[in-house]
Amino acid sequence: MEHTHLPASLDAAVKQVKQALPISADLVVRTLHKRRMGVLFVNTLLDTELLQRAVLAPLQRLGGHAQTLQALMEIIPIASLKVTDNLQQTLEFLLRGWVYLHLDGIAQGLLIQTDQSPQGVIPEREYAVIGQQTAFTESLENNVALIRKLLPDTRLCNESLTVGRRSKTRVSMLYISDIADEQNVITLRQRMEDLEVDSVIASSILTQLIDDNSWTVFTQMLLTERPDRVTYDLLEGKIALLLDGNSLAILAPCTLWDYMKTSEDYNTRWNLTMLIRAMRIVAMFGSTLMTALYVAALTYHYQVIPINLLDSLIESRLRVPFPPLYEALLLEVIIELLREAGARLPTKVGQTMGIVGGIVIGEAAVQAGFTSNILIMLVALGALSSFTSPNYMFGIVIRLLRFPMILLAGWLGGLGILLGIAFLMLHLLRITSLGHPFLWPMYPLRLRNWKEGLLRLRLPSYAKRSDFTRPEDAERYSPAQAKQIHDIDE
Amino acid sequence: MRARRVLLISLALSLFTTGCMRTNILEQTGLILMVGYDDAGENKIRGTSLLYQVDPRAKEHTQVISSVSASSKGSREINNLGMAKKLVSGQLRVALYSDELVRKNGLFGLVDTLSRDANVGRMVYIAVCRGQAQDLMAYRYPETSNLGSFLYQDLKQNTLSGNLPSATLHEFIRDYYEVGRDPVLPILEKEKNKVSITGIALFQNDRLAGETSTRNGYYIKSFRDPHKPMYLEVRVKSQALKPVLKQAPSKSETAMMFSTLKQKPQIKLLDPQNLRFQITLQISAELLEVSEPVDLSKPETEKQLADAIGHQMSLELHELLTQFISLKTDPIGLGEIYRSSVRGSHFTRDEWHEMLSKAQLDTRVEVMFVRTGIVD
Repeated sequence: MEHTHLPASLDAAVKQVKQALPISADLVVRTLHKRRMGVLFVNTLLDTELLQRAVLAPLQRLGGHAQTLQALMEIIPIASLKVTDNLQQTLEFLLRGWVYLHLDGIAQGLLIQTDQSPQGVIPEREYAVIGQQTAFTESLENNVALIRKLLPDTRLCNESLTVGRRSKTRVSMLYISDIADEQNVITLRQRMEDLEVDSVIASSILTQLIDDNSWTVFTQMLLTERPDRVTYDLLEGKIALLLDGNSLAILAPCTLWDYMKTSEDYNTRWNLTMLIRAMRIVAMFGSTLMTALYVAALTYHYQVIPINLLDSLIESRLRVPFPPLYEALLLEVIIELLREAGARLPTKVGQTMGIVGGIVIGEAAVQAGFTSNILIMLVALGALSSFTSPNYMFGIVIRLLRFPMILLAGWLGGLGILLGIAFLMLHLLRITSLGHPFLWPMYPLRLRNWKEGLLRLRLPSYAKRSDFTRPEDAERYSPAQAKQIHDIDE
Repeated sequence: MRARRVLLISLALSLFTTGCMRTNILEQTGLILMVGYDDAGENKIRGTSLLYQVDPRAKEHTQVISSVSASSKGSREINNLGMAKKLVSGQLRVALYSDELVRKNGLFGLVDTLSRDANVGRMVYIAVCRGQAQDLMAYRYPETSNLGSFLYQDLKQNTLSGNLPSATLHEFIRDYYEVGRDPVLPILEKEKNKVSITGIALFQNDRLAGETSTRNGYYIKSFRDPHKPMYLEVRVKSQALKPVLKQAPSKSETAMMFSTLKQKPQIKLLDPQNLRFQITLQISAELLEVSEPVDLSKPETEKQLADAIGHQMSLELHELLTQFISLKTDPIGLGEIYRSSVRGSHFTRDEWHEMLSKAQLDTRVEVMFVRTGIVD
């Protein structure tokens, strides 16, 4: 580890710390006794009340008499104190939430433990079985601290911005200076500074205000409530925005595959994840196309139905008075109604809705000859598949995409579905997120980077970072060392 | 910007010009599962369609209608007049042609119309029917509620894991167009209360030339589709097996049953002038059953059994091929071998059938037993 000595002068020491933590809105420098004494700390990480009571109050009462660190150590009522002359150690402890006390003229400083564990809540929207059981709260400082705790890196920048003429919402823009693309940082900062809006209440509103294409159904910035997800993505070169009063962080730029990843994917072994992620992706495509394929097959392409399925298909359709198109639309709307009603209701009543939907509508609709069994199964399967999306917003997008597909299938059959897929593909190809292609690494084709999207390989393959943002620090760890495995007797 | 809007609108409108496709809503169509054609005299044919009966309350699962017309599509239109639902052929699985029709008119015209119908798949099974197809299809079999899917499954399983050479629409058309190779089709027959495959029809071009037993299907299939596992029972004179038998044989012939793991057929043209072919068939097999007690613990037993079988099969193969030559039919594709080995050998199908009668054949079958059973 590097070893840089701390300078004796307070101004020089402050300058060095500020240089090492270039953009940190949460770094606070407090001087006392006519700049004879300096107190430095990262204010998101520490217990402010403790700082005031146990550090600042005794120091102020001192009246500028104590001239040595030893004398100061006598009067500060805190258990853990450390004398250091090392800049790197100072930075490390600052980012852990300790306070650094510097006396002008002494080439040493005092580190005082005042840190406080940030508060997290149990994740509700993005649950992980093995992963961290922490989600963002609605306090900005606390959320920054949650990330700083996972990533006490001096290169982690924290810029403070304000958006909204009336709401004056504080936004923290977090990125790692030597991994994130500076161009992205500039673009994002520019977009927020240019924002002429009276209020920004939620982070999802902010994404709609600053994204590339406001017409599309696809969200181009990812919303997440998980600090570990944010940390992973920061390390991949993304930029995170945290809003005061909001428990959802914004991540940009994003690709389509980001919506199909969970932080759990990196917690489970690679081969298991590969299977699960593949299943998830198949489920998304299946969910958009399943009902449409049913409609197309039953309306136009009776030829493709296997002979063993004919019996059950025809029998279930026999009592249904509508053509397959209307039957499918009807059921899809019912499912959406159920979902919407369930989402709006309190949990306890929501369960009743499930019973009403599942048993009453499902069973009774078939009994009454309203829909066919097979379609109910397919629609339910489609809804289920859409819920495998780790991202709630993306799940809604998938469910919405089904409707044009069904209409096209009812209008032109298989040809219609193919037209729909072609339009969807064209649309996806044109979407960008902060100017980055949404379908990367499929388009533009970057085979080396498929491991960041569709695939999940062994961890040693992740030694090199993806070139999504062309990071300056291109390696997570040395690829050569990643291959080495030491035997027990070595 | 203006030009772009015009382009967009015209593109959007062009979607409507494709019009709406003709819908075939599943339960509103009469799905034809099987068709059968008979000779109705006066250059007319009788077309019989077996339809999928959709009504679950109906006793029968199928409905059979037939009519006489000059063409197969014509008879379908006449059948359509008596139907509440539109007849469609997209679920056709089996097409049946009566032997009389095939002998007289040839099959190609009737098969060709199926192959040019986009609704009909290329994997439709084609078969020849002994007697009238209408009789076979109209009869209510006590064991089968749906004759169409029954015959489809029957043909399919015998093709995939039995001795029946594959006879789909696609293969028939391909063999028909190939110079130096003739199609083969299974023969279906109505026996009292059931239908079964009772033989293999041999063709000269598209005309029925003769037939052979289903057992000989093994040999035909070995050359046409050698990768499928099959079963065969071979009878060998007990006298020849005397050294390996444990006791004196009780019958004059010993039957041996084996299943094959793979066949390796080889046809070589030895002498182009005299049309001398060497036909070898190497078989890896698993011995299943021997009708006389033999001592399988001795390693030479297997070898002797295999040799005896090989010898017998070689005779059978020779006999079968001689029958082909006398019928002027070529199901195993000797003509293809000739055509690919002799430079500039341009001949038509009919010329080849004439040439074939002069062919001389050496046959050899080598059997190797890989194992004599698996005990667990």
